[in-house]
Amino acid sequence: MLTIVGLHKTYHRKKQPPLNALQNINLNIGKGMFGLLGPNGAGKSSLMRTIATLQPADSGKVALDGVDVLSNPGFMRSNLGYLPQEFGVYNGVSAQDLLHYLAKLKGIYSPQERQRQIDELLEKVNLREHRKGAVSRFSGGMKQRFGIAQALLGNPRVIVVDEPTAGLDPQERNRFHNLLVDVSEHKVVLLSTHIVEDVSNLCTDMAIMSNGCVVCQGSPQELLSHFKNKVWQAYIPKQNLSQIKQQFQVISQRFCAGEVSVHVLSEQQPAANFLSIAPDLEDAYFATLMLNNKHFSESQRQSGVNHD
Amino acid sequence: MISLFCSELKLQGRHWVWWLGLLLSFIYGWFLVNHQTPGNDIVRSGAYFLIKTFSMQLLMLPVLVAILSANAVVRDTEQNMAHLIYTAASKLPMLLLARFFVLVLLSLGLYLSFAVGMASGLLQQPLVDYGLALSSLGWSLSFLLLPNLIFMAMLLFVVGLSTQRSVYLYLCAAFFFVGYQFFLGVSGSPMMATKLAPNPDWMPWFSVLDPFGLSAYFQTVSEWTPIEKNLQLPAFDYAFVTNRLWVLVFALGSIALAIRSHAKRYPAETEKNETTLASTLANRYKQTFLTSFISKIAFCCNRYLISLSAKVIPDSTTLTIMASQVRLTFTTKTFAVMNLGLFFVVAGEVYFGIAHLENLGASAVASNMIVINRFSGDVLPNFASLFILLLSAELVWRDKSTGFSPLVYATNVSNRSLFWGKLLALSWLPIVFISVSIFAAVLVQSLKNGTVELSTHWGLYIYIGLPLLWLAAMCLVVHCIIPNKYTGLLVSFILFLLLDSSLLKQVGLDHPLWTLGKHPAVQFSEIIHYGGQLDGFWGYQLFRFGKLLMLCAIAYGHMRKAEGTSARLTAFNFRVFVISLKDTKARIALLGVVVSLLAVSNIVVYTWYEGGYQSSVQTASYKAEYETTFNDFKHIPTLKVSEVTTTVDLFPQERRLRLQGEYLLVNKSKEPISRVLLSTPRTMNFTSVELDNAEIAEAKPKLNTFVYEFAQPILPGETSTLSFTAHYQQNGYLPLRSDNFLHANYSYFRFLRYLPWVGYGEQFELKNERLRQELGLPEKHLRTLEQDLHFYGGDLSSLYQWATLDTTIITDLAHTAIAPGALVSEQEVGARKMSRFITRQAVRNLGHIVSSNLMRQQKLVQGVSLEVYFPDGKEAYADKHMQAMQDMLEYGNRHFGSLQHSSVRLVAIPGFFPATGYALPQTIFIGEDVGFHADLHKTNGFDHVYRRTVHEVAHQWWGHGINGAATEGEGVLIETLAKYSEMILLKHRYGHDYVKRLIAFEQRRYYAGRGRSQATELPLYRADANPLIYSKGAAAMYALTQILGEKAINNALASLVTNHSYPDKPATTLDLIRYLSEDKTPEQIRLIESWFYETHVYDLAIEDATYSLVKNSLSEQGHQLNFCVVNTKAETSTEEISTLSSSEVMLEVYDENDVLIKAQNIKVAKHSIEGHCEEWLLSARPARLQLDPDLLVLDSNHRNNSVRVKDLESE
Repeated sequence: MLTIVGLHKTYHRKKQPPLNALQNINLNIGKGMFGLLGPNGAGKSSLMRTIATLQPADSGKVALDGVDVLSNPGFMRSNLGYLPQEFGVYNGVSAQDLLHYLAKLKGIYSPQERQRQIDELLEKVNLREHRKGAVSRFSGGMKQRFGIAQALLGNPRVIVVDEPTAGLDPQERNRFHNLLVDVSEHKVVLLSTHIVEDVSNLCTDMAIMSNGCVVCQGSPQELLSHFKNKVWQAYIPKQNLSQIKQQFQVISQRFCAGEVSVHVLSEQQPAANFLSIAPDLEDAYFATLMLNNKHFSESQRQSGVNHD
Repeated sequence: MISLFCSELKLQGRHWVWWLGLLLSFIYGWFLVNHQTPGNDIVRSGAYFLIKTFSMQLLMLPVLVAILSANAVVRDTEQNMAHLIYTAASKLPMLLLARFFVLVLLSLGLYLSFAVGMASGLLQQPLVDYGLALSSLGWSLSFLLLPNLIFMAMLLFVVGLSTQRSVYLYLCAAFFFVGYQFFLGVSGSPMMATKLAPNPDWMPWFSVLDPFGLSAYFQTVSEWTPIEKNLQLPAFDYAFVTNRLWVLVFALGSIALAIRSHAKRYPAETEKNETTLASTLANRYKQTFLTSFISKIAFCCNRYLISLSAKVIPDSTTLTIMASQVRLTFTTKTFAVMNLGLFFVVAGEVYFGIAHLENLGASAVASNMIVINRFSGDVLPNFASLFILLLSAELVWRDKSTGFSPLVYATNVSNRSLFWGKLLALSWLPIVFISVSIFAAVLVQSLKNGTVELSTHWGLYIYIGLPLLWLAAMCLVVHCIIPNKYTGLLVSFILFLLLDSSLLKQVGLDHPLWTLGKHPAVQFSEIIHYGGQLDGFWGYQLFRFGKLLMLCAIAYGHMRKAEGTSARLTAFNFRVFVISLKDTKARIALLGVVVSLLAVSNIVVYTWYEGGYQSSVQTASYKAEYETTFNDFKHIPTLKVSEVTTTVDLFPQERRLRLQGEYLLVNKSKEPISRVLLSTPRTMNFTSVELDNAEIAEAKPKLNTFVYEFAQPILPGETSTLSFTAHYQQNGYLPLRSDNFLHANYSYFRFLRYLPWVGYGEQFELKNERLRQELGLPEKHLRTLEQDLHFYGGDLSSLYQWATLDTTIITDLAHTAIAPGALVSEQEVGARKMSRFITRQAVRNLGHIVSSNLMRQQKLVQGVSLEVYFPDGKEAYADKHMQAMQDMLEYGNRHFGSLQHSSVRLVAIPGFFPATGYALPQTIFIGEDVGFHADLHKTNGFDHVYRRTVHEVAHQWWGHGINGAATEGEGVLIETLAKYSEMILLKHRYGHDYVKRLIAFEQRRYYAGRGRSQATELPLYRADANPLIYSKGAAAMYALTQILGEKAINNALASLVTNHSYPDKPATTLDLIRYLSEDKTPEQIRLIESWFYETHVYDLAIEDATYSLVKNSLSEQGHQLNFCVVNTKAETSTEEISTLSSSEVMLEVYDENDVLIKAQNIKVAKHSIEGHCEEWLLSARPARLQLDPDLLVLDSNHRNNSVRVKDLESE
């Protein structure tokens, strides 16, 4: 069980005001897939890197099975598989050689055990045929699969994957999802993403981050229940869109056959042409962000602080 | 184009490195003008000084342009912007051109700032002509810098475009930097220390081809007098203009072609990354058998390294990281290029070192000593250091720059494993570089039929490997601590420069502690192997590595580059650190502290306490204090040493000696002497110094100088005795003097280094005029020969320093002792050997002792024992030296006068000795490289072994037989006459043409030396400068011998020996001229005087040599030859005493079959460059004219003395 309590992280930047990347983060993460949703700049990667002990926190606690990993990073690292949002590899070195190298760094010194794990993982991520190819020349999807293979080396208890499907084609993304579901049965898998569909497809538990704070945590169903009977849909002409936006809390809009499909958050029916619909996770996500942004702007205005 | 240029200027010029460079250039220019000391007659604001100072900085051009090029040409690729930029640029060639010109402009800015700095510095100087100074700097910027800059920018821009990696720019700059200096060395440039180009025929080519144009410039000014150098800007002669034009055209043409080609090839060129050598080779060059073979080899290496890391390397994180980093580094193209470059540079150096031991085609045998010393002193350490600087940055920052670091850092790998893994990986670099160098050297050695002894090469792994390993570790520490790759590179480069060069010495920080124990390069000698300074080497390495351990402990925490977890460790809490000694870091640091403290105390004891260390600043101030304190003693009579009796108890294995001695002092003046000045050598520890009936009246222990006052003044002719005891322990912690050397196999000491000095010592005075001025000493004014004669009333015998020497040496049983005089007794005393030497009569007081385990060959010739001491296995050389000694002895005895000594000894001396040959009374030292490693089987090479030995033996007459008066021209009586003896012996052994070859060389050497000299040339009779007393003197004696005859010269020299040997009045050059002129015709006397009194230079040339058929008076066909002879250097005459306005020079006419038709002297104007034209009627058709065939004129260019005759009839 991974527990995060009161985590704070601020970046001090040259010639710019400090950036509060993480503010009082509190999370309890159990086995299975945990989705971390949030827009770009919400603080997801900062949280991931802090959990992966790649950067210290200013305050707060991250504990794995009760052990504080911030003061004992070795404990976390020996139980961690980490796939960062972006990573490079040594030029010209084959997948197999790189995995051997990383396996040794993870302390798998038995050649037989190392080879067994590597063979198994290469098979699992479907890279067996390419094991002798240089990773630096892999396609994006292959490289991500290599990434998950290296993260799974050493049978870690916690797997942190940061935006793993960004830039992948639908087929690769699907393959990657299956892989994550496979490995998440007995592990804590922390998936950070801004793609709502990934979370709705994979995660049993989730949190939404915005402006460095966790604005919502629970299962996707719980999140959806907050917005039950509060989401309304209408098809309107394109020229009316700005008027609708001024009148109602529009959480999303989509163009469809020359008209605009508008989803609005409202306790009552906004207008006659609006019909109540069952919210999906995307509606819930955007609605949560919208409400949070509103609240954030008001609090900024009141405090007079201009955050970047 | 203009807007592109402006935006490029903004992008490239915003870098702080450029602005810093601008500031530093200005300061450096200002500093150089004010702190460099020009030569005697060269003025600071003169054209030559300014242009030369500017030219010297052009050597740094490749490095400066490389630094700026990285920002100009490879920044897109290195910052992942290539695709954005290249797809956005609609006119790619224009963009690249703009980048090129901005690069040129920014580089120009640095030099402009330097020039402005120089000009500002001149404001502090008393100027003669500020306009000329500005013109000189303008000339340098326009005609030297600008074409060179465009050329260099082109070269590096092209390299950058084609490789897209900054490391290749730096490598290219480094290779160019070294290659160009090699070029200057080979071409005999006055900028370098080399004496002369190996082949004079290459010189015109060098002048035209030199990409920096410096050869052409220095060639132009080489025959100028200092006044001309001060006042004139160089003319635009053919060579210079041609050179500048081709450099410009080639550079601009190449850059245009390169840009065009690059723009066409886009985007392929922007995709370049550092890939493994194996895959690159495999992908690119599958088509040919050879390249396929190379790629397979490379693959095998790669696979082998993989299997090695998998099987051989034990499974531990540290070793895994090491193996991985080694493989990643060693299989890159960069590494291959480095090793290939190093291989060729070392191979070239070794080949050149073997092929060119000395001038005139002398080669060396490919021995280990010649081979190792050729590359181990500078080429290997410098190149390997540079590569390590670059590769350590690559290696440390690899994880970060490839983006692999998150994967690595998320594992539970410890900082310790990361640090030691990388350090171990770096430690392979010195091993590889040394191995490649040894391989290259051994390969060349084998090809040149040398005997390879790998056992002697192993030492390089220690003596070069350890300092390189230290450098690698230091770079690792720097990169760990500094959070930016390029700043880390800059800091490590600055540290390297400061610690491994003499920069700190320039500002007075010359103690080795300041350079963290920088140790001079260890040289290899067949006599002493790597010995000599090895104790110092180990002491300093201990100090360096101890310090490094402390730094390593700090650097540990910074391994995770630029990660947040690293930042936490940057706050180094010393208190916590100390109390947590359970931590490995703390233990390592503590170990470092302990080792450093031990090493420092060791160094302090050996340098200050035992070595008597003085910094250069202290030495200068002590000398100044000596001069000001004891100046009065300079002008009053003092006691002279007439007998020296010493017993030296030598312990070579322990590198120490004990000394007991006695001087018999005589008052040779006409006045009573009541006070005497006595100085003792600083490094000797004198336990007692006692002077009969005298007490110390004034003591200056800091200066090791004491004034003794006699109870009763010593009257003229009376004597007194000085007794002393001392001991001395040598170590290798400070640079060893070449004449003060104690080693288990070989010891050599000169009296000057261990015996007291009586009287005022002019050798203790400060010579450097700038320092004298700074320390408030008056300018040194030396009297001329005539002034000295007047001052001493025509007899300079009071300046004699001669004495009889009685020397006893007690040394190891296996050693042979040598000292001046005859060996009168030799006996074993316990397990030691005692030898006593007594000189037959007084000799120059240049006593010395040698103790060595060399082999000995002996021969009795005309009652003189000739002995050769040589390293084992060098019998053939010993035979040759013995023959030369015998020839010279027999000739000298017959023609100059009998040798006064009972023995003459030739002793091999290890390579650290700075001279190739050195003659002391009865002992001749010959360097082991030139004396015992010349290739005796090479038939067309000059016999320098014979020449040198004859020369040094001749000094037993010229220098130790007659001792010229200590005034101007003394060097002529020593060296010029030894050169004469050398020429005569060579003529008798090898013939006249052989000597002509030597004279042609000496004439070139004279002109080369003249070009370097910054003082107005003195006439030969007053000369002491080497180009004059050796080269011009040789040319003069050769010409006089050709005209006056050998016998006439020998008679004059015999008169000199008869009338001026000790204790008779010492000779001056005026005596020599007088004896040479005896019984000669007025014309011959004028010739003698013109050689000794005048400083003419010549460049004789034949112009307009034409032939036509004419009818003569008898109505028969005749062959008419018309020609003109000019002396293009006639206007540079500086001193004139002869009334003759012309010299006579022989002209020979040859027919088609090279048969001599006519030979006749013609007149050549000495003062006018106008040609002297003649018309000759000949009996046969002329084909070729040869001017001055016997090299009797000091001609700067003999190549234009032979011309084909133009046939007017056929035209």
